[in-house]
Amino acid sequence: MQVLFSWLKDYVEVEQDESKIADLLTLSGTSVESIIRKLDDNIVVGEIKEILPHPNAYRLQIAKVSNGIEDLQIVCGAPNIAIGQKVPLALVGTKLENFEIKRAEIRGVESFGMMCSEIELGIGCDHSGIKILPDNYKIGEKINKYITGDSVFDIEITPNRGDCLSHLGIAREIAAVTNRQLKSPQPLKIDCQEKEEFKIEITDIDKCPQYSAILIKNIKVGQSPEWLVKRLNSLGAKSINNIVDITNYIMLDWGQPLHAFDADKINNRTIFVRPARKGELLQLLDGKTINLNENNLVIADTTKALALAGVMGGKNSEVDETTKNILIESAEFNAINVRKTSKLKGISTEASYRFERGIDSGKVLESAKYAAQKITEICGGEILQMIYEGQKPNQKLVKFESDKINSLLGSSLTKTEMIEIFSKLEFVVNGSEVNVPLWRHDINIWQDLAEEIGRIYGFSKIEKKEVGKSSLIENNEYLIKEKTKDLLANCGFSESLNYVFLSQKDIAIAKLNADDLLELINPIQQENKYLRNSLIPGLLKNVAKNPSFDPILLFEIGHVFNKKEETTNLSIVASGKQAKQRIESCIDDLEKGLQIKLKTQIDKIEREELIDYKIRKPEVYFIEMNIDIITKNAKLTNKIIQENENIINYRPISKFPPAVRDLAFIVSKNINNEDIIKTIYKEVDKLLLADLFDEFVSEKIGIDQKSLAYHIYLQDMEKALSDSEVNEIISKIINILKDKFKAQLRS
Amino acid sequence: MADKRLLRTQTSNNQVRYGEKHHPPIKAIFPGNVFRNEATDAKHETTFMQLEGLYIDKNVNVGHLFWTLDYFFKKIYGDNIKIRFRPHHFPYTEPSFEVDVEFRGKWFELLGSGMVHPKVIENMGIDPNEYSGFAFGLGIDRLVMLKYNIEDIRHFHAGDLRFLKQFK
Repeated sequence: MQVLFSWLKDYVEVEQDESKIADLLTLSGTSVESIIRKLDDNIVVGEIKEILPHPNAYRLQIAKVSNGIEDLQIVCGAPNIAIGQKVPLALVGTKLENFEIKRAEIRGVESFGMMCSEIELGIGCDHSGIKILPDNYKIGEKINKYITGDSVFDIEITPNRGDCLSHLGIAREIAAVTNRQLKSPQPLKIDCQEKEEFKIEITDIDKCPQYSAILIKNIKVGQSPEWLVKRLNSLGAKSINNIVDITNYIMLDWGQPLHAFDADKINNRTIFVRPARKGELLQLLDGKTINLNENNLVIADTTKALALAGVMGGKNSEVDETTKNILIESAEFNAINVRKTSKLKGISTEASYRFERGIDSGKVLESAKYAAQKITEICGGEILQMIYEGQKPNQKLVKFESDKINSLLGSSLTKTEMIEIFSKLEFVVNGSEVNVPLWRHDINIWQDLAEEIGRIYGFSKIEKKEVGKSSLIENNEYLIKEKTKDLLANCGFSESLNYVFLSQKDIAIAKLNADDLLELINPIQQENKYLRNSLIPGLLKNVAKNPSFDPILLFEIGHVFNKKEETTNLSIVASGKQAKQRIESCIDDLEKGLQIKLKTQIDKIEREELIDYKIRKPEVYFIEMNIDIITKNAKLTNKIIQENENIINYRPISKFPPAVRDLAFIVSKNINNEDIIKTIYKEVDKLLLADLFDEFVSEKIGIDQKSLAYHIYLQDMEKALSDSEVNEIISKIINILKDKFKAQLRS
Repeated sequence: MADKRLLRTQTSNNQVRYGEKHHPPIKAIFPGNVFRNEATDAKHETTFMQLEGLYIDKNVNVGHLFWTLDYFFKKIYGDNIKIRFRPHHFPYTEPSFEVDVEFRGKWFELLGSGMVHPKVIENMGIDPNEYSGFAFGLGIDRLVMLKYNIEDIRHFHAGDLRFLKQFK
């Protein structure tokens, strides 16, 4: 929802600037996503240095205007300029209301910008000359630093707050959070001749509880006045003609969608609000013809449907330039029915959007009057008849439970303080009950009232209260899984999280039987329609994807599916250097760390079969088991999940494959691996990863010395690194470690 | 699926399931994968992990919710992290909040939360006049992405060791 800041001022006067108001709105529940400022950054304070007559036009002058850096030549037609004046200077590229400033040639003289009047800046109505700025404005400074132009707020309105889909609604929120009086619209009196021309009949009161219409004769359809066009344009709405513009304007102003029928296109002066007939056709204003059924509510005359209620008007009764007499509709349509119709027909309009969220049930007739007043003011004509059918909305009362509200919010407000907050929102407290305004369809229980109190009082004032600790459940399944992951990670295995989907191709390669697999009817990608019954195919794909690593050590704990059940499996795969031993030793560690016995058999896939997986390795070893074997039997000695102590310096991953080199260093025993990695990371921006794969102490390398061996992965975001580039980086690393840690390269 | 089962789109159903089987005080978290019909790109995924939290007891109030989430985010992002609670609307909580965390001068919405709606408490077979509580839910992927400045959500499911080994 977009609102114009200056429009809000029709209803509330505020002292705060836009940003402050935006913050207050955001923190009270109507989140301002952005503020679009109308005063472009390209408009700066300029100073007139020189004025020359235009050689080819006696009404024009050529001014030299300084922007703080240089003097720009500007052709200008305003009579009020003088040397030494400070003026708003719109540089080339400035976007004003209806056009963009470009370098131009005006009657044979080049012009590099424009000096602006109030009206051109959109800050006032004075068009008599250039806006002269005060002397203390700094040349070259953006004008929006000094002058607040208009702005548009882009606000996220949650679906429960239909009442905020209007300027009046947002102004009401602003008044409440800034503690100002809302200038509520006063009841309107319109001059109606009270003729009996049209009849209205509602046949389904549930779907249309209220329907009002005003008949106006002898209007002139034409262009809208400038102020109206400007307000609509500012919010991205196009001006169509004065009648349509006024109905749109009132919707944006008060939130009530309106529709204008050409009264002469309605047969027999009768309006029915009735269910459509099955197969009834209606061509809508956008030109599309839709096929209706009994669930759709239509506005009709004696022979045909005229409009799809609450969604869009029909072509057959459209107001056009020949229209003389109009019938203005202001109604309330059932939110659920409008939502269904809009969704099923695939048509969403500004009107349906508002009806779906609930309009102000108390302003249906008043909005029609408002429209009639504006129309007669702008388009002429006389008001012949005013009709209202349906049932007046009931008062909604919710029990006022101040103690409960305090205990839910953790606040200690007095009843008086609460009543004051309610009054800001126009909720009236009557003894033990709160009378909820008719625009607040979302307030039904005392908890809803608590939210109102909280958000206007300010949730930032609510004191935080500590929640007491509680002990963990013994041998918690989740904790055991996390422990298992820790143990595997400590053995050098990386955790993979694959998608649960398998494609036809995947199952062919893995020689799985499609009949055993669960199948999705509506998969996101057509080929990925099966749910995995094993973690191995995914892990093998991961092995294929990482050819630059050796060894490749991976595991996954994840859900697998078959036609009978969904279970959680653990799978471990290893490929490359000492693959089998790596799995064996990690199984050992699991058994020790979890105090269990795992009867696991390590399986092997041979080279020939691996080719199908695009894996170019002699063999891959793997195991897979149901995690229950672990979680049901494990005994934990320590219930603390390991925190990652390493400092993680994430680097994004290049599209290009990494270059890998192994480096081994001999360093003093007291030197920390982490410090070495941190140093390389800091000094080498092309480093992706320095992976310690071997660490040992031996007499051969000397007492108090140790050997640290790293896989060094280098990458460039833009290209594949060449050998010479890689060699250069590697020597840089060797030198840095030599300088900083006295590290000796092992050959 | 043909038998009308569905890949779950959220973990919130765990709240009622757990509540039906346990008596207050209830303090529980529910992590799990969820599935969405999304067009994938660097910010959107079809598969991601959610974390759901629930606390129900006597006299639980908004202050307890704020304390818990403040504690959580400080634990994840450090004590200097700035967070704010923004009133919002969710059907299962009243009042409801979105929680924003500030990074590099901008607020990022990270979590939805609120005081459990009395109807939800009732559906667990617990008396809403006696008990109250709070619930929250967040996406783990986004939480981690902001912590480490990860540029693409798809890395989490790519099985790429260049990524995984950076977090070993």
